Amino acid sequence: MCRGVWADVNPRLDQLFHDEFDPMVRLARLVSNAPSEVEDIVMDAFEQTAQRLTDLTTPGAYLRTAVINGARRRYRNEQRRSSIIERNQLTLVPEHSTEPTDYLGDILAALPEREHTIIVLVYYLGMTPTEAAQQLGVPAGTIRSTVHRTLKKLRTQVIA
Amino acid sequence: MIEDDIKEHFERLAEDTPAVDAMRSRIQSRFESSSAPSMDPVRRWPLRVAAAVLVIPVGWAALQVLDSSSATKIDAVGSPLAEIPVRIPATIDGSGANVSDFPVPFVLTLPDPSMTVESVTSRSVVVALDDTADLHIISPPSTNAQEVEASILNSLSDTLVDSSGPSRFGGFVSQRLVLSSDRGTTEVGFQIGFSTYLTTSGIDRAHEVHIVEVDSTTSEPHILVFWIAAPTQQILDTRELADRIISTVDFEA
Repeated sequence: MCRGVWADVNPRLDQLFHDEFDPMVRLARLVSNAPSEVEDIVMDAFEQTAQRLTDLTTPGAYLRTAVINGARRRYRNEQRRSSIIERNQLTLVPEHSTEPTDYLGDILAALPEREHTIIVLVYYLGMTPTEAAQQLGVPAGTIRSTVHRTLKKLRTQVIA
Repeated sequence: MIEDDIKEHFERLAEDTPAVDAMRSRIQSRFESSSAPSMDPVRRWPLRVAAAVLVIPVGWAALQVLDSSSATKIDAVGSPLAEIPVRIPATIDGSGANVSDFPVPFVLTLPDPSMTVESVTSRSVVVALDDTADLHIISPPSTNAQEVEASILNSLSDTLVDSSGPSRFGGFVSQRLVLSSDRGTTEVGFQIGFSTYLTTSGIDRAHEVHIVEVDSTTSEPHILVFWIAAPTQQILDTRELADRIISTVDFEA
């Protein structure tokens, strides 16, 4: 195993990077739905965490929060950008497209930001409603009702 | 089932994230070549006063807020708070606050000697619950809870309103606002007219605000705002602690 770049200077940061880099990249990818932004999201999050490392008792949790916050912002920006484009042009479905359609993926990517983030936390990270509530700073009831409402919406749209 | 489809979709998408190794190398290189800017994510007030119990004239004569027979009173959560017998004068050295502007004093019991009163003005008190979490007690010049709520919402920047609605806090019936960082950095303020009662900014901060209408048998209703500010991952615990503290509020005649 290679020694990390901070191994001599900050072993704690080095260990955090070793343990959390890959999971954070995947988390950033899913929450942001913006593959081109993942590197910046993760870089910013590690920078933030590194600056506060001496104060943090659970740096992994702080890092995850920083990644989720950065990814949520990019998701919202992408949604705003997409809605501007869609207002001005029609999306045509190719008649003979060989690309498989990913209806569920498209529908998930079109969810409002909070619904999308909650669904990722619950169904990818496997968080309970209480854990997701604590992560996002909202009541657990909000998580449960959002999941219920979103699944109902998804079932309706996927069947249609 | 749709839930299984969703999980499979996310797993597939996560595994499809390209070139993670290359990204890791680039980020490590960026760290090596960049110098991290100094950042103080938590703004601290300069005043520090060692206090266990603070007597604050707040301002309503003959107030009957915490009537033990009131249906709005709830039991304080958690273990009973130990009475800390030290009382300090209402005027904090160096603050310049003229606390005689407050109408009626109240006693607030802080359960932990590490908690400090950061500042006192004629309209607000700030209690530092720890290094990163604050409790603000604000007495705005308004008798209308809806006006106060609207003022708070109009003062927000880069802040999400996660929820709003009726709640209970510290024994009071309240209108609660739950706020959180929008872009990692939150800037919130609380203004009515030309007066600013609170401005705070920081990274990954969450806020819970309780607007309480205090009834008095001898005067018009008045408004108290209890404002909790903490790191996002800490807000629930901070809220519980603040609830316990506010449940000890005792208005003195």
